[in-house]
Amino acid sequence: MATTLTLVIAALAVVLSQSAPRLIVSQRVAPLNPVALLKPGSTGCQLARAVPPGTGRLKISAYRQESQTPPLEAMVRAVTGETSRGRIPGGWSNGPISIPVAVPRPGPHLICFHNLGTTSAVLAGRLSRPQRSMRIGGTPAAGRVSVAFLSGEPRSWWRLSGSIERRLAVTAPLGLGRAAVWVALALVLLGWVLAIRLALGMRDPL
Amino acid sequence: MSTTDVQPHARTDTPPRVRLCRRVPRAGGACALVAVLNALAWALITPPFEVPDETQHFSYTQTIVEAGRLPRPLAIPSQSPEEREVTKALDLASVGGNPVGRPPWTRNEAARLHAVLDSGLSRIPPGGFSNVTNYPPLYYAAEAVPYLAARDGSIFDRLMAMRILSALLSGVTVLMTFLFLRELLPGTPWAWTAGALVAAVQPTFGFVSGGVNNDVGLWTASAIVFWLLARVFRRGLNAPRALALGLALGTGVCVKPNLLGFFPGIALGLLVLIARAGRSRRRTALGSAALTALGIAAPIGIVLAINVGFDRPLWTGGDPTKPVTSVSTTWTGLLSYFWQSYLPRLWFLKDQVHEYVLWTDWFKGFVGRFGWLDTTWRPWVYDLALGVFTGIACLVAAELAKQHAALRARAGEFATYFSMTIGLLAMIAAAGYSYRLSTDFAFEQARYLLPLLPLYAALIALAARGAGRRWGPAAGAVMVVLALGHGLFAQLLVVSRFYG
Repeated sequence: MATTLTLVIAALAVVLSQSAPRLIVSQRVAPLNPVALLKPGSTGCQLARAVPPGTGRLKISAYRQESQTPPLEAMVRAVTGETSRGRIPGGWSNGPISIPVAVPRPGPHLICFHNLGTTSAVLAGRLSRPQRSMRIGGTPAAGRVSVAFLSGEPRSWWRLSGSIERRLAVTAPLGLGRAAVWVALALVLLGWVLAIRLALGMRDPL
Repeated sequence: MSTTDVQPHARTDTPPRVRLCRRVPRAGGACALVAVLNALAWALITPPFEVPDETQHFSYTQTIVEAGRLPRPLAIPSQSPEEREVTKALDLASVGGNPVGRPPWTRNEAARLHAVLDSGLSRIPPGGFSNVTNYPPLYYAAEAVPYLAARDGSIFDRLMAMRILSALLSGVTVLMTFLFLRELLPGTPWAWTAGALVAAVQPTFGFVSGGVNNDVGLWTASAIVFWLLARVFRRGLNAPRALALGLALGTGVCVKPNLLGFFPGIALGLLVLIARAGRSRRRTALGSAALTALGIAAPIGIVLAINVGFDRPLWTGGDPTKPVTSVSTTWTGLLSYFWQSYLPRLWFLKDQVHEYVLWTDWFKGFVGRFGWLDTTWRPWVYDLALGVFTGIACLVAAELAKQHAALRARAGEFATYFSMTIGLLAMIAAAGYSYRLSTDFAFEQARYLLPLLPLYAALIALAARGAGRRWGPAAGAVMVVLALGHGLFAQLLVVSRFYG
């Protein structure tokens, strides 16, 4: 039992210490439908009303159309005209991918994705009206592409604990506020202590 | 599997209530407390209305308390303006099924949400149709108590108060599971603790028990039924036990009618008990079985009367929001669907489910699928879990092989549990069959299997015993720690899904 407990705690420590770029704000457009086909050399753009501060990566859901996935470039342009770019090489797998782009300042931006390869890519999002849809070469695509904003620097769960405490407090009941996550943790720990004590007491009397 | 009888309880002069408390074993109470603590933690970390159908279940209770009536299957809204606007501010529709969707957490989102909370919107629901309207009102009437207790608070306070009742019910479920194991395996007390603890921290059980959902009440009723049934098999069918069994069954049906699936198995069990009573005591046994039927009928009768009194259909009123379409169901289609819902499709059956449901819905759902079923583990976790459960299955098989004589001696009892299981599975398949035909969506969710939680606990206890007398308690302890780890990682998964 001690070995299993040690392994579980070690696994927990490893998971909590893993660093990765984390989501900064919720993205309400779900990547549910294939909405934009980026042919080789084409560029799709859409407006983002508010790119949050601290954004260092854009997360999209992309799928291959042919046998290989093409390199993609992301470009963000602020209303002031400041522009930054980032790219990922081809060979990515279907599903969520994140492209590093340092966003110079928060606020509204034009976000564009450029297909640098020789094969097509499909971007996922939600079907929407032409005004809100991504435009590819001036023509509205079938919908708006889901673009999530991730932090630039990787963060571990330990470092994220303050943010989690604050986020959970928004809907915390019974006046718990920022204590809600710690109360939950205390309940879990109490349950663990009790369960382990019980497990230690399990003996065959015969 | 020992058939050893317990020692008769010594008579004392202590008052009955104190005696009752003393008869609840401390380990059983502690296992129940673990379940309550675990469910309360789930209640705190799961965002409001992110447990399946929680919006509708909340609305049912709100209709009872605020409008003083029961919802009816009418094509009018079911939710109060308050609940409707709060769920809009929470943007539930954009968060569910969206891997990058999160509840409000920025300052602006929080300000908008709190403006809605403070706007004094009406709490009175129109009381129309939702997918839970046709359920009997028992669970919702019970939830009215915590709702009333927190009536001065925000909608989140009231929801949390209701979640606390669900968490307490999960404690009762685990206590009953412990007591069931005590009757089932009287010679191995440590195995009761192992089975009950693993059940207490099972992630799907904990997650739903931390929310507002009548499945929680169903699981409690089901665990009581299993305990009472094991008791009558071990101690004999007498009038009080038979009546209690009937009342538990009837009450369970009034929480959620899925418990009707147990009825064929219960009928078989009663027949076995009557046959076992012998000629001299057959009349008494028959009388007791009649009391069971009476116990079943009493709560159901009360609910029927309430339905009539509140101008609701006698039992179920269909869905008035959908046109009445003639979905052509056939017995052969149903049987084929039943098979495919749990086992690999045979070559001559028409493909009705398009996937291997045992793996995609039942197994993966049991290992963990949270939120509105949109929060899942990475694929390798399910593969790892399959390995662990295969190991557990081998230990169970070893134990059953060792105890084949005891199994034969208690064949009637096990046939009863088996029939109850098949009945429940058939009930779920019957609902899933017509749902699939009319919507082409999957109906199956692992939580529908959790009325069988006591049997899951029994399998864990048997697996621990399967490790042998020397290693059994250690194997049980290892399974408890693995279950604790599984539960904790599931909670972290949900925290990362909604707040990370």
